[in-house]
Amino acid sequence: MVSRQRLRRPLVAAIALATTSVLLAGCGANAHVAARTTTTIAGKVPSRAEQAAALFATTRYRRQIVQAAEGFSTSVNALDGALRSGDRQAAIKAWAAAQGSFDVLRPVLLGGPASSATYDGQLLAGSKTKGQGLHAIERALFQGPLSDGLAAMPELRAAGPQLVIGLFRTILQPSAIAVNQVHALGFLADHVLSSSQERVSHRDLVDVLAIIHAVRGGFNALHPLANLVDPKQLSATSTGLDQVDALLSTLPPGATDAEVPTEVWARLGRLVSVLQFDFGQLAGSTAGYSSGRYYA
Amino acid sequence: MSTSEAREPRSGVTRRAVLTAGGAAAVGAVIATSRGAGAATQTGSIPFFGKHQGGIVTPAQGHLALGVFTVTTPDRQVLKELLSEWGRAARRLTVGLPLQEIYDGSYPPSDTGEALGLGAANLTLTFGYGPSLFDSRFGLAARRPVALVDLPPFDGDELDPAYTGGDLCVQACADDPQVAFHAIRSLAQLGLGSVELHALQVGSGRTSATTSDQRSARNLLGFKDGTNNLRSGDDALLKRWLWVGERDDQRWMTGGTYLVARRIRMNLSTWSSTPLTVQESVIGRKRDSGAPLTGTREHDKANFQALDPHGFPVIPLGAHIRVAAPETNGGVHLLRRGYNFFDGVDERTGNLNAGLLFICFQRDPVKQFTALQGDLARSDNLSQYITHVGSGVFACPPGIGPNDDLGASLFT
Ligand code: HEM
Repeated sequence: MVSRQRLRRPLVAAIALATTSVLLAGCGANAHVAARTTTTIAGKVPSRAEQAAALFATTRYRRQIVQAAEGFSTSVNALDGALRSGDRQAAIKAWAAAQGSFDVLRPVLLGGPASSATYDGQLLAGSKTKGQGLHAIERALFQGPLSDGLAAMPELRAAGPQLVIGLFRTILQPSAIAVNQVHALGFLADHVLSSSQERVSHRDLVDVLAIIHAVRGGFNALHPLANLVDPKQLSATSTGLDQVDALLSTLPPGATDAEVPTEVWARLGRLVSVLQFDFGQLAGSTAGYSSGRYYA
Repeated sequence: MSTSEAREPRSGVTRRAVLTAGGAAAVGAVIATSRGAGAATQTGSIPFFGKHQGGIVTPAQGHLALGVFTVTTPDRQVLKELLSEWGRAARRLTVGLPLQEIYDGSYPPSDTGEALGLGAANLTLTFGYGPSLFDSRFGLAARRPVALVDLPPFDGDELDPAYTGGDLCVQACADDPQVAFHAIRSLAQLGLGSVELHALQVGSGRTSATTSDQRSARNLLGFKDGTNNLRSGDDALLKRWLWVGERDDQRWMTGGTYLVARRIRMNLSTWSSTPLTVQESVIGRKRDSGAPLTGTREHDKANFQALDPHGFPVIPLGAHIRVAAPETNGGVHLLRRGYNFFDGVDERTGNLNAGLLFICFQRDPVKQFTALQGDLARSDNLSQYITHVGSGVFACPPGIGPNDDLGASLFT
């Protein structure tokens, strides 16, 4: 009997489960992806170079995730200290860093094909309606008394080291890494850029830069394999990322929302949609390649 | 004089008069005629009168206009009269009649005219009362059912006040969008000065089947929707999960039900860039056939115990149908009756503003929708592709007979 213990399980258990399903994502996110990927590679033994590139993708992405978890842990501790000493500027800096690390982790913890940790990721991200997670901190930093942020700290502080331990064994296969970038960009479009968003800090650029940086990391991890299996798509994706970078480089560092011209947001939104499509295609062309362990 | 051949007497002609004094008799006569001919029912009308309101287990039509109103009059009697008047208007509209047939051309016409000649188009009008109607304004606090409370916040909610809450709702469903729109517009017009339209949400393309002979339609994710829904023939389940029973706390609600409406934006560009196999694992069904991942045909029963060769569930733990299914959620059923919506383009991202106007009916929203949505918000992998942006809950009283007034049971 398959139970639904996913609800409200402790973070470590959640990550363990996430990691397990991540492992499974070696052949895709689940049995059905597995079935398809098996078909994709049926009759074709990946070359040594392809296997090496797939292994590179997996390990490189894992490093990115683990570094983000470590960064998250460090920033959360700094944030805690700043909140306690009432230093708003230091708190804002630490919050932005924690948010940046979380932006790398988000697709792994929330909703990527390998994610099984929805609840916990949600808790860290925080929701608009509940005084939890990074969202509650943002509100306290930009709208409320600093002390409001302290209530959300125990969970965030506890999560840091657990994430580092839990994500250490992450193995995401190339196709799943590509889908994670689709998700990261989707978050950017639907939850950061969308005109329906409530603006709290009026510093969307913090999120935008962190997400694009994270996506660039995922792209770099996929690069060698994509270069072997679908160079044309790789080049399209690379161009898309460069266009985003070029657009963002026109903005003054640390710009607030008001300092970013409306056309820039609009252009960014459109570039992001194209990039989502590109990573979706890369998910297809890298499907079936794994770090090697899963080829029978 | 335009369409009018005979002038109504000037004295006492008000916006509403047509539906009260002489109007009522005329309505009776016209209804009698159309019924007598048997034509209206045969050619697309669903009876307004009955044990239950229409628009719940009656066959889901193709179009929706959901009007949500704020009551602005402080006067209980005015509200009561308005509801009776809405009931009278509903009788006419649901048989394809305009609000008024005899016009005095020196006045603006009571009926706005856009549905003339379109027939009833199977129009149903389902009326509901929001929790806020039972506050201190109208002396109704003691009549509030315990199950009628504002929905709590759920993880991931990004509710827009413009699509949230409301004192009254009217769900107009029809085979013709203009007929549904006309109905809400007419009711809003009749309520001028007493109620204000808080939101009008328009949906096109049903995403449910409510009778066994209806085929499943598709939502904007491209998947068949409504496969495993409560349907009109499931009497025992409907009694248990849909209709308020005699023993529930408010007698006036016996035979009624509760409507929950959620405006759910779909993150379509993310979905469209997601591989098909991942999409299918998110839903737990195959896209084209609608079959569960453990089966081959749409109505095959999902096997939530099935494991793949690696020992992992074939229908993933976070698959939408697993989290939502009665087998795993403590038996909860809902009658879903949603519609797709498409509403332009987000100006900042250029993405489509589209999704699902999720509507469901149930006997107790606290034990059914709220319990289930709490689980979905936390564990459903579909949550990453959707955002709930509007919300409302309404008590829909039972249906009325030809001699009853809409709303009378609430006030007596
Ligand atoms: C945009 C949002 C949603 C989409 C696209 C969606 C889509 C689907 C699809 C494709 C199915 C499978 C076919 C079927 O049995 O109807 C399904 C089933 C179901 N959904 Fe949803 N749904 C959404 C939101 C919700 C919400 C908010 C709820 C309730 C809180 C819900 C409750 C259910 C239930 C009870 C089932 C039947 C599960 C079973 O017994 O197999 N859905 N949905």
